[in-house]
Amino acid sequence: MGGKMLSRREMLRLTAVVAAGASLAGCLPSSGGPSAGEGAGQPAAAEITISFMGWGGPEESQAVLDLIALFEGENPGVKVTWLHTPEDYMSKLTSMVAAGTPPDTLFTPQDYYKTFCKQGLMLDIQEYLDADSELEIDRYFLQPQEDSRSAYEGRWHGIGCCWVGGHIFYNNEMFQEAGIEPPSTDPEKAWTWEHLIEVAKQLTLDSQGRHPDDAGFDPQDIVQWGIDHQTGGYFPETFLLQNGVQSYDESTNRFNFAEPAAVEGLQNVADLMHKHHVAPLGSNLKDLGMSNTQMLENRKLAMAVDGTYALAWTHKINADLGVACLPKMKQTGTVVVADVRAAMKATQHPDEAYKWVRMTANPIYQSTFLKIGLWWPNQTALMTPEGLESWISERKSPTEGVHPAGYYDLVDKYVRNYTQAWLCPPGFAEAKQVIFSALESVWNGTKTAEEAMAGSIDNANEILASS
Amino acid sequence: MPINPGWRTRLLPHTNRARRNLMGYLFIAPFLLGFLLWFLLPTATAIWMAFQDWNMMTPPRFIFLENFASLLRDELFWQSLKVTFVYTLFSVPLTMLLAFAVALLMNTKVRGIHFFRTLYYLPVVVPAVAGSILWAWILNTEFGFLNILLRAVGLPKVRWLVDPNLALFSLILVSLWGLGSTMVIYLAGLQGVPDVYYEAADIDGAGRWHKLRHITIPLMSPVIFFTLVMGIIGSFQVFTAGYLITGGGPDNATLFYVLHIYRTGFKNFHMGEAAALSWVLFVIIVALVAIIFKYIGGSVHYGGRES
Amino acid sequence: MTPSSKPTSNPSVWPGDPHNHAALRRWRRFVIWLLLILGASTMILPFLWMVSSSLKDQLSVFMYPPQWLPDPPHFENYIDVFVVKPFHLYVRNTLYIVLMNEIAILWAASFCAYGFSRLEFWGRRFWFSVVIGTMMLPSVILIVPTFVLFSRLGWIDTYLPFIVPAFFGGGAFNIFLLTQFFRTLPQELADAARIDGCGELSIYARIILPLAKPALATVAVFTFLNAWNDFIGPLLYLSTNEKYTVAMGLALFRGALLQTRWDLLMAAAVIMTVPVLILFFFAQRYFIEGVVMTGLKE
Repeated sequence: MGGKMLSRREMLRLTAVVAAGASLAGCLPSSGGPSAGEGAGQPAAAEITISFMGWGGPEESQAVLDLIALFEGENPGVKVTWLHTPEDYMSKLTSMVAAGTPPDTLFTPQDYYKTFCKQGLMLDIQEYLDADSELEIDRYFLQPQEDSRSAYEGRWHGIGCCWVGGHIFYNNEMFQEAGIEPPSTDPEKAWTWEHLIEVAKQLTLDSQGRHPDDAGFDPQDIVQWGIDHQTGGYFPETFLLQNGVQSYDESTNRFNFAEPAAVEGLQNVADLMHKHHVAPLGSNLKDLGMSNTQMLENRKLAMAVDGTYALAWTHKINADLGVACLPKMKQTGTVVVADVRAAMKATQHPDEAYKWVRMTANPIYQSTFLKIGLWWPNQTALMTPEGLESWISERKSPTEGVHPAGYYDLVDKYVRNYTQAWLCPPGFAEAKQVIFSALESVWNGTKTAEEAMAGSIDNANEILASS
Repeated sequence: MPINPGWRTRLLPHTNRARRNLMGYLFIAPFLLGFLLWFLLPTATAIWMAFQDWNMMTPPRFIFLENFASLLRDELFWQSLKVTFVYTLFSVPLTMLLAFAVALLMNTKVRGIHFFRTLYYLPVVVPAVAGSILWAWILNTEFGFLNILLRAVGLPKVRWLVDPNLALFSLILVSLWGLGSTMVIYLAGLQGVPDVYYEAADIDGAGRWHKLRHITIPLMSPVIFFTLVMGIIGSFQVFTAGYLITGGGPDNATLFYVLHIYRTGFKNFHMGEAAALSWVLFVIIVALVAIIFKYIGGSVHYGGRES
Repeated sequence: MTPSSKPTSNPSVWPGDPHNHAALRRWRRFVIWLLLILGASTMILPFLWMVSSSLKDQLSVFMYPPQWLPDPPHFENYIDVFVVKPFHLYVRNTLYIVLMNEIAILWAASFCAYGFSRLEFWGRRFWFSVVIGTMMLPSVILIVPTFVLFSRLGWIDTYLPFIVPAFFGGGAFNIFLLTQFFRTLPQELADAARIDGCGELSIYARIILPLAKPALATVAVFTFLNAWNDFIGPLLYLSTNEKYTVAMGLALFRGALLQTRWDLLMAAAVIMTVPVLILFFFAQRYFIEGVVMTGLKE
């Protein structure tokens, strides 16, 4: 904390700002400004320091620190500072970039990555990659997804660290007691949407023990729900995919959210809440003050649709946990996504920054998180039968093992063949925000998907076009 | 500490007055510099920013009044304005009324007044963050303390924070938890009212209500007026409760104005628009305070005290 | 709500009865007392609920009827909090900010207050009205430009935004409070010192400051409270986990848990609240005086 006191340099800067007055606009981060002077003013240090900004819980943070220790051992003279920012990451990152003090290397969320590329903030690492004999492109098994997320105008500016996507988590005890066959991890046997609704109705109860189709069923008084869908992040795109539509059309640079099939996919999910009464409303969840994981454990919920990563904490619940492929409206499958490990263009040490970034694509590092149930792999070596065996540990109890029965199939078949990359063109985050706000009224039942999408799609596409 | 007079005459101005001025400004220099750096400079920056389209990452673009125009078109701006006005309209007078009532009760020479004063003041020192998280739990629909109480007496549960029509009301309720600071001011004010006034009124055979109406309230009016003005200024700046208890929801029902500034500026980095929002807030507060001074300030009774 | 509005069947305690003043007074006292107790319980119950919830396990917080005294009490929640988030770092960071603020504010505010209260100079009244003006000014309207300013100084993710400004005047409220107090101090001592050849600096340091201890204590107490409780500042300026303050850590704790662990949230809230409560019980007088002074001595 010694460096935090007002140093003479800070005082000088302060004076400079006073002198500059309102002409602050002149010192833009990209064109140097205050940060440029900083390096020059310091005595040449023998040691190079690379900062690395990212999120993650305590386990992930510890794994990063371990990797840093490994890296520093292999690269004497280079230090990596871990800027651990577990919450509110994008505002924090943006404010550091805006302040002209961007990190050297970072986790770049996929939804912002290409926007940053287009703004010229990311370091182009294509030449490094081409010259890197160990890191050839074909080490990634999932194509063209991998290229589609990493390449901006044909050139990679970052390396994907993993994949994550949606699937079903369920409480098997509730299925056994109701005498219902649970959903499968085999994509060939994925449920139809009609079957999902039927099963969910059987597993939904009001306080008098009535099901949604029973006489006198009170939708205001549900105590156990059949299914809950996450609706944030890449899930709306997944609903589109399930109904056979791609969310974004690269050739026209337009979203497809207002296509009839897209609207139908979104409406199907909303109908689970408002028409079939088998899914809790957002307000039900707030009433309970529980997460879907806690609801699964407390038997208030039979199935939860959530991301891969949720297994990292859901595997600890005190219940017989199962996982399964998403049901098909037209097809099963999920959008897959993950952040990109990258360096920023403003870094003073691009060579060392690249060295560090490629280190985070290390299979040992990746398997650390595969083992705790956080990720799916993106490296071919971890998808071979031996590779899969190396990290999947069958869950036998809440404290023993992580991956529920059938997880091998889920990764080997579902992830390999039924996934599509999240398509996030420049300007995506801002444009998606418009769609997202409109979808809120679909999830809370005040608008149909058709109305909401018709009212927002032009606005969103306009933002895409102007980005 | 004796000082060498020779040194003094060489270094300091010759006339007494000039020396006095120099000394005065030397002492208040920290404030003057702070005023320049942390008030005038940001104010100038804010004026400049309000006319720019700027995300701090790409160069700013002068757009003159477009930021203000887009505010007027923005539903969320009007919503946040409405939320903040409604909150102020209820939270401030209710806090004052209750605080005044408690102070009156406490000023009756009951036993343990210090003890009570401590208890009522306690919530004021609780960090807003801790208090917000606590209330989010107390107001939980299924398992929160308040609904458990209602259930115990056979009343139906209330969806305090989930019902869009109730959420703002619930936050107003939470704000009453902090009435202690206003109460302490009133109590001190009441204790400062000389007994002779009441004794004189007793001789005239005046009742309690009459004494309250014609002695206590007029004598307390400067204090009441002060808490009114500060209360309004404070309630226009509410942020933490909205950010942590409800996140501005449900359906933007608790989107406080400052929360809207925060999101515009530091989530979406529309810095120009956020500066414009700040200016509008400033104008509103100044106007409100001016109106209050004009229409209510006139009826404040300052007694023997200097205003 | 007034006590006399409640009729009873016993005519001797009915307020209109002039013959039974003692009984009336006793009855009124009782009602007032009851009302005060009722109000005080409303103020205190949330605290008890917080402590009670913090000692439950993650499932029993969802139980009805609730247990007020959790059996067994889960004191390990208070350890788990530190496992999820490095609160020991947050406490250290916050105390550092508090300490720097105390130094800055006690010096700067008293220094300026000395000027305003004890020295005659041209423009004094004007500048003091500026002090009062900035005291009334809603500070949040400047957060946007101030953020730009600090970010251009490279102060993002450092403690400088919380410390440096405090050295420049120490806050209008503190200057005002100390000025009012200094004015009440006798002029004679300072005059005598001046005759002995004392400069203003040594009068300030050796005569006024020692006499002003109670007022300085009030300022110190509020400085602690403000720095400890500040949330919007750290939210805007601090990025990395290890640099967070307690308020920031607690606010983001919910997201860090990934589940809604009310037991741990309450334990963390208790951890943040206890220091201010301790301070309050030991320095209650200064709290109340500070509030009263701003309210009454305008």
